[in-house]
Amino acid sequence: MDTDGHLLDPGDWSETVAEEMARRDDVELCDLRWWLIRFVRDHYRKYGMPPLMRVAVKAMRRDCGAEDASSKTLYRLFPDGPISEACRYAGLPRPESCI
Amino acid sequence: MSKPDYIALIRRKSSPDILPGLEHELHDAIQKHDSSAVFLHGDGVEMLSAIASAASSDARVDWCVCKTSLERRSAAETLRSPFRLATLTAFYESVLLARHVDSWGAGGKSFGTRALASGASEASHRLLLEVGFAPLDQRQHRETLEMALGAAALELDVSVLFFGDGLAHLAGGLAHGWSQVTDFGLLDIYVEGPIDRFQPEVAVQRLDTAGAALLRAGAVTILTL
Repeated sequence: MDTDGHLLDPGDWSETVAEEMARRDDVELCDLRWWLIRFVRDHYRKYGMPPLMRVAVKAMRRDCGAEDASSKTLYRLFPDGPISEACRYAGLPRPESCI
Repeated sequence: MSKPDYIALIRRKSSPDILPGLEHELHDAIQKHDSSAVFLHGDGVEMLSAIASAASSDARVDWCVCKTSLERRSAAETLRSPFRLATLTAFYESVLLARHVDSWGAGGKSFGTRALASGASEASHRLLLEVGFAPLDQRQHRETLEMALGAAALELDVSVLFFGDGLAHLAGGLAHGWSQVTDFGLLDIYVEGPIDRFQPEVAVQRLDTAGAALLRAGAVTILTL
Protein backbone atom coordinates (compact mmCIF):
# COMPACT_ATOMS: atom_id res chain seq x y z
CA MET A 1 0.00 0.00 0.00
CA ASP A 2 1.02 3.61 -0.50
CA THR A 3 1.22 6.12 2.31
CA ASP A 4 -2.48 6.93 1.90
CA GLY A 5 -3.48 3.28 2.28
CA HIS A 6 -4.30 2.66 -1.38
CA LEU A 7 -3.15 -0.55 -3.01
CA LEU A 8 -0.04 -0.04 -5.09
CA ASP A 9 -1.28 -2.59 -7.60
CA PRO A 10 -5.06 -2.46 -8.26
CA GLY A 11 -4.72 -5.99 -9.61
CA ASP A 12 -4.18 -7.18 -6.06
CA TRP A 13 -7.72 -6.19 -5.12
CA SER A 14 -10.42 -8.65 -4.18
CA GLU A 15 -13.46 -8.42 -1.94
CA THR A 16 -11.48 -10.33 0.66
CA VAL A 17 -8.75 -7.69 0.53
CA ALA A 18 -11.37 -4.96 0.96
CA GLU A 19 -12.85 -6.77 3.95
CA GLU A 20 -9.41 -7.08 5.53
CA MET A 21 -8.66 -3.38 4.96
CA ALA A 22 -11.98 -2.49 6.58
CA ARG A 23 -11.34 -4.83 9.50
CA ARG A 24 -8.04 -3.09 10.18
CA ASP A 25 -9.84 0.27 10.07
CA ASP A 26 -12.59 -1.04 12.34
CA VAL A 27 -15.15 -0.31 9.61
CA GLU A 28 -18.01 -2.66 8.82
CA LEU A 29 -18.69 -2.94 5.11
CA CYS A 30 -22.49 -2.86 5.21
CA ASP A 31 -24.62 -3.21 2.08
CA LEU A 32 -24.59 0.51 1.32
CA ARG A 33 -20.85 0.77 1.71
CA TRP A 34 -20.44 -2.22 -0.60
CA TRP A 35 -22.80 -0.61 -3.08
CA LEU A 36 -20.65 2.53 -3.16
CA ILE A 37 -17.42 0.56 -3.48
CA ARG A 38 -18.79 -1.42 -6.42
CA PHE A 39 -20.29 1.68 -8.02
CA VAL A 40 -16.95 3.48 -7.82
CA ARG A 41 -15.16 0.47 -9.33
CA ASP A 42 -17.67 0.24 -12.17
CA HIS A 43 -17.47 3.98 -12.84
CA TYR A 44 -13.67 3.89 -12.89
CA ARG A 45 -13.66 0.96 -15.30
CA LYS A 46 -16.14 2.63 -17.62
CA TYR A 47 -14.96 6.25 -17.54
CA GLY A 48 -11.37 6.06 -16.34
CA MET A 49 -11.97 8.08 -13.20
CA PRO A 50 -14.02 7.98 -10.01
CA PRO A 51 -17.48 9.59 -10.04
CA LEU A 52 -18.37 13.05 -8.88
CA MET A 53 -20.17 13.08 -5.56
CA ARG A 54 -23.38 14.26 -7.24
CA VAL A 55 -23.19 11.30 -9.63
CA ALA A 56 -22.85 8.85 -6.75
CA VAL A 57 -25.81 10.46 -4.99
CA LYS A 58 -27.92 10.27 -8.14
CA ALA A 59 -26.98 6.62 -8.67
CA MET A 60 -27.71 5.77 -5.05
CA ARG A 61 -31.20 7.22 -5.38
CA ARG A 62 -31.69 5.16 -8.54
CA ASP A 63 -30.08 1.89 -7.49
CA CYS A 64 -30.81 1.71 -3.78
CA GLY A 65 -34.29 3.22 -3.65
CA ALA A 66 -32.86 5.87 -1.36
CA GLU A 67 -34.84 8.81 -2.67
CA ASP A 68 -33.61 11.09 0.09
CA ALA A 69 -29.95 10.23 -0.47
CA SER A 70 -27.61 13.20 -0.40
CA SER A 71 -23.94 13.94 0.05
CA LYS A 72 -24.61 13.71 3.79
CA THR A 73 -25.72 10.12 3.28
CA LEU A 74 -22.41 9.34 1.62
CA TYR A 75 -20.43 11.12 4.33
CA ARG A 76 -22.20 9.03 6.95
CA LEU A 77 -20.84 5.97 5.17
CA PHE A 78 -17.28 7.27 4.91
CA PRO A 79 -16.76 10.42 7.00
CA ASP A 80 -13.19 10.92 5.80
CA GLY A 81 -14.36 11.41 2.21
CA PRO A 82 -16.88 9.08 0.56
CA ILE A 83 -15.39 8.88 -2.91
CA SER A 84 -11.80 8.81 -1.77
CA GLU A 85 -12.46 6.16 0.86
CA ALA A 86 -14.60 4.09 -1.50
CA CYS A 87 -11.72 4.22 -3.99
CA ARG A 88 -9.34 2.99 -1.32
CA TYR A 89 -11.51 0.00 -0.38
CA ALA A 90 -12.13 -0.59 -4.10
CA GLY A 91 -8.42 -0.99 -4.72
CA LEU A 92 -8.25 2.15 -6.87
CA PRO A 93 -5.65 4.92 -6.77
CA ARG A 94 -6.25 8.00 -4.68
CA PRO A 95 -8.44 10.39 -6.73
CA GLU A 96 -6.04 12.94 -8.12
CA SER A 97 -8.46 15.60 -9.21
CA CYS A 98 -9.02 18.69 -7.08
CA ILE A 99 -12.69 18.86 -7.99
CA MET B 1 -9.79 33.21 -4.47
CA SER B 2 -12.31 35.24 -2.56
CA LYS B 3 -14.36 37.76 -4.56
CA PRO B 4 -12.16 39.26 -7.25
CA ASP B 5 -13.62 41.71 -9.76
CA TYR B 6 -11.47 40.24 -12.48
CA ILE B 7 -10.34 36.67 -13.14
CA ALA B 8 -7.84 35.42 -15.68
CA LEU B 9 -7.79 31.72 -16.48
CA ILE B 10 -4.54 30.62 -18.08
CA ARG B 11 -4.37 27.14 -19.63
CA ARG B 12 -1.84 27.88 -22.39
CA LYS B 13 1.59 26.38 -22.57
CA SER B 14 4.36 28.84 -22.00
CA SER B 15 6.03 29.97 -25.20
CA PRO B 16 8.25 32.94 -26.09
CA ASP B 17 5.80 33.83 -28.86
CA ILE B 18 2.83 34.50 -26.67
CA LEU B 19 4.34 35.37 -23.30
CA PRO B 20 5.01 39.09 -23.86
CA GLY B 21 1.52 39.67 -25.22
CA LEU B 22 -0.10 37.69 -22.45
CA GLU B 23 1.84 39.53 -19.76
CA HIS B 24 0.93 42.87 -21.31
CA GLU B 25 -2.78 42.08 -21.56
CA LEU B 26 -2.83 40.62 -18.07
CA HIS B 27 -1.11 43.64 -16.61
CA ASP B 28 -3.56 45.99 -18.31
CA ALA B 29 -6.57 44.04 -17.14
CA ILE B 30 -5.32 43.88 -13.56
CA GLN B 31 -4.75 47.63 -13.49
CA LYS B 32 -8.36 48.24 -14.49
CA HIS B 33 -9.84 46.33 -11.58
CA ASP B 34 -9.87 46.76 -7.82
CA SER B 35 -9.13 43.10 -7.21
CA SER B 36 -8.02 40.30 -9.48
CA ALA B 37 -7.28 36.60 -9.43
CA VAL B 38 -5.09 34.72 -11.88
CA PHE B 39 -5.71 30.98 -12.02
CA LEU B 40 -3.16 28.73 -13.73
CA HIS B 41 -4.63 25.41 -14.76
CA GLY B 42 -3.49 22.47 -16.88
CA ASP B 43 -0.57 23.38 -19.13
CA GLY B 44 -0.96 26.91 -17.81
CA VAL B 45 1.00 25.93 -14.70
CA GLU B 46 4.02 25.74 -16.98
CA MET B 47 3.71 29.53 -17.13
CA LEU B 48 4.57 29.62 -13.46
CA SER B 49 8.27 30.32 -13.75
CA ALA B 50 7.79 32.48 -16.85
CA ILE B 51 5.41 34.90 -15.19
CA ALA B 52 6.90 34.69 -11.71
CA SER B 53 8.93 37.82 -12.29
CA ALA B 54 5.89 39.68 -13.52
CA ALA B 55 3.72 38.49 -10.66
CA SER B 56 3.68 41.19 -8.07
CA SER B 57 3.08 40.95 -4.38
CA ASP B 58 0.26 43.44 -4.92
CA ALA B 59 -2.35 42.46 -2.36
CA ARG B 60 -5.06 43.16 -4.91
CA VAL B 61 -4.00 40.17 -7.00
CA ASP B 62 -4.52 36.58 -5.93
CA TRP B 63 -2.10 34.35 -7.87
CA CYS B 64 -3.55 30.82 -7.81
CA VAL B 65 -2.22 27.57 -9.19
CA CYS B 66 -4.34 24.46 -9.67
CA LYS B 67 -3.15 21.97 -7.08
CA THR B 68 -3.73 18.88 -9.21
CA SER B 69 -2.23 20.36 -12.37
CA LEU B 70 0.91 21.29 -10.47
CA GLU B 71 1.20 17.90 -8.77
CA ARG B 72 1.02 16.18 -12.15
CA ARG B 73 3.96 18.18 -13.42
CA SER B 74 6.23 18.92 -10.51
CA ALA B 75 5.11 17.31 -7.32
CA ALA B 76 8.21 18.35 -5.48
CA GLU B 77 8.03 21.99 -6.43
CA THR B 78 7.31 24.34 -3.61
CA LEU B 79 5.18 27.30 -4.51
CA ARG B 80 6.69 30.61 -3.68
CA SER B 81 4.86 33.76 -2.77
CA PRO B 82 2.77 35.34 -4.22
CA PHE B 83 1.53 32.05 -5.74
CA ARG B 84 -0.66 29.69 -3.78
CA LEU B 85 -2.53 26.45 -4.42
CA ALA B 86 -6.23 26.54 -5.27
CA THR B 87 -8.88 24.16 -6.52
CA LEU B 88 -11.22 24.19 -9.49
CA THR B 89 -14.10 24.46 -7.06
CA ALA B 90 -12.70 27.69 -5.65
CA PHE B 91 -12.10 28.96 -9.17
CA TYR B 92 -15.69 28.44 -10.27
CA GLU B 93 -17.09 29.91 -7.08
CA SER B 94 -15.10 33.06 -7.81
CA VAL B 95 -16.15 33.12 -11.47
CA LEU B 96 -19.76 33.46 -10.39
CA LEU B 97 -18.95 36.68 -8.57
CA ALA B 98 -16.42 38.29 -10.91
CA ARG B 99 -17.33 41.22 -13.12
CA HIS B 100 -15.00 40.19 -15.92
CA VAL B 101 -13.28 36.94 -16.83
CA ASP B 102 -10.62 36.39 -19.48
CA SER B 103 -9.29 33.03 -20.55
CA TRP B 104 -6.16 32.04 -22.36
CA GLY B 105 -7.06 28.55 -23.51
CA ALA B 106 -4.91 25.71 -24.68
CA GLY B 107 -6.26 26.34 -28.16
CA GLY B 108 -4.38 29.58 -28.25
CA LYS B 109 -6.99 32.28 -28.38
CA SER B 110 -7.90 34.69 -25.68
CA PHE B 111 -11.45 35.70 -25.07
CA GLY B 112 -12.68 38.54 -22.98
CA THR B 113 -16.09 37.78 -21.63
CA ARG B 114 -18.86 40.16 -20.94
CA ALA B 115 -19.17 41.71 -17.55
CA LEU B 116 -21.76 40.21 -15.27
CA ALA B 117 -24.85 42.24 -15.88
CA SER B 118 -25.92 44.41 -13.02
CA GLY B 119 -28.47 42.59 -10.93
CA ALA B 120 -27.71 39.19 -12.43
CA SER B 121 -27.75 36.54 -9.77
CA GLU B 122 -25.48 33.57 -9.38
CA ALA B 123 -28.44 31.35 -10.17
CA SER B 124 -28.81 32.93 -13.59
CA HIS B 125 -25.11 32.82 -14.37
CA ARG B 126 -24.98 30.76 -17.54
CA LEU B 127 -21.51 29.52 -18.27
CA LEU B 128 -20.20 28.34 -21.62
CA LEU B 129 -16.99 26.37 -22.04
CA GLU B 130 -15.55 26.38 -25.56
CA VAL B 131 -13.19 23.70 -26.84
CA GLY B 132 -11.67 24.22 -30.27
CA PHE B 133 -8.38 22.39 -30.00
CA ALA B 134 -7.39 18.73 -30.22
CA PRO B 135 -5.67 17.49 -27.07
CA LEU B 136 -1.94 17.01 -27.49
CA ASP B 137 -1.87 14.17 -25.00
CA GLN B 138 -3.93 12.21 -22.50
CA ARG B 139 -3.21 14.69 -19.72
CA GLN B 140 -4.46 17.66 -21.71
CA HIS B 141 -7.60 15.72 -22.55
CA ARG B 142 -8.14 14.81 -18.92
CA GLU B 143 -7.62 18.35 -17.65
CA THR B 144 -10.07 19.77 -20.17
CA LEU B 145 -12.64 17.22 -19.02
CA GLU B 146 -11.91 18.18 -15.41
CA MET B 147 -12.66 21.82 -16.21
CA ALA B 148 -16.13 20.70 -17.26
CA LEU B 149 -16.56 18.32 -14.34
CA GLY B 150 -15.51 21.05 -11.92
CA ALA B 151 -18.42 23.17 -13.09
CA ALA B 152 -20.74 20.17 -13.10
CA ALA B 153 -19.76 19.26 -9.54
CA LEU B 154 -21.12 22.62 -8.39
CA GLU B 155 -24.27 22.06 -10.44
CA LEU B 156 -23.70 25.29 -12.35
CA ASP B 157 -25.73 26.17 -15.41
CA VAL B 158 -23.02 25.16 -17.85
CA SER B 159 -22.73 24.02 -21.45
CA VAL B 160 -19.72 22.87 -23.43
CA LEU B 161 -19.36 23.81 -27.08
CA PHE B 162 -16.94 21.83 -29.24
CA PHE B 163 -15.91 22.97 -32.68
CA GLY B 164 -13.21 22.24 -35.24
CA ASP B 165 -10.41 20.07 -33.94
CA GLY B 166 -12.00 20.21 -30.49
CA LEU B 167 -14.21 17.33 -31.57
CA ALA B 168 -11.18 15.09 -31.14
CA HIS B 169 -11.99 15.12 -27.41
CA LEU B 170 -15.19 13.22 -28.15
CA ALA B 171 -13.82 10.66 -30.57
CA GLY B 172 -11.92 7.40 -30.35
CA GLY B 173 -10.35 6.24 -27.13
CA LEU B 174 -10.70 9.67 -25.56
CA ALA B 175 -14.47 9.74 -25.66
CA HIS B 176 -15.24 7.48 -22.70
CA GLY B 177 -14.35 10.11 -20.11
CA TRP B 178 -16.87 12.54 -21.61
CA SER B 179 -19.55 9.84 -21.71
CA GLN B 180 -20.14 10.26 -17.97
CA VAL B 181 -21.26 13.83 -18.66
CA THR B 182 -24.10 12.71 -20.88
CA ASP B 183 -24.82 9.39 -19.14
CA PHE B 184 -25.56 11.25 -15.91
CA GLY B 185 -26.94 14.45 -17.43
CA LEU B 186 -24.24 16.58 -15.84
CA LEU B 187 -24.24 19.32 -18.47
CA ASP B 188 -25.15 19.94 -22.11
CA ILE B 189 -22.65 19.16 -24.83
CA TYR B 190 -22.96 20.94 -28.17
CA VAL B 191 -21.05 20.62 -31.40
CA GLU B 192 -20.82 23.53 -33.82
CA GLY B 193 -20.49 23.16 -37.55
CA PRO B 194 -19.85 20.18 -39.77
CA ILE B 195 -18.55 16.95 -38.37
CA ASP B 196 -15.88 15.68 -40.71
CA ARG B 197 -12.63 14.40 -39.24
CA PHE B 198 -13.76 13.45 -35.75
CA GLN B 199 -17.03 11.60 -35.27
CA PRO B 200 -18.32 12.15 -31.72
CA GLU B 201 -18.91 8.95 -29.77
CA VAL B 202 -20.79 10.85 -27.11
CA ALA B 203 -24.39 12.03 -27.35
CA VAL B 204 -24.15 15.64 -28.49
CA GLN B 205 -26.49 18.32 -29.75
CA ARG B 206 -25.50 19.72 -33.11
CA LEU B 207 -25.71 23.43 -33.80
CA ASP B 208 -25.31 25.44 -36.96
CA THR B 209 -23.50 28.78 -36.90
CA ALA B 210 -26.64 30.66 -35.95
CA GLY B 211 -27.43 28.22 -33.15
CA ALA B 212 -23.92 28.50 -31.76
CA ALA B 213 -24.16 32.28 -31.90
CA LEU B 214 -27.35 32.12 -29.85
CA LEU B 215 -25.67 29.87 -27.31
CA ARG B 216 -22.79 32.33 -26.97
CA ALA B 217 -25.15 35.28 -26.74
CA GLY B 218 -27.01 33.62 -23.88
CA ALA B 219 -23.90 32.99 -21.81
CA VAL B 220 -22.86 35.36 -19.06
CA THR B 221 -19.36 33.96 -19.02
CA ILE B 222 -17.49 32.20 -21.79
CA LEU B 223 -14.30 30.34 -20.99
CA THR B 224 -12.12 29.28 -23.87
CA LEU B 225 -10.47 26.10 -22.72
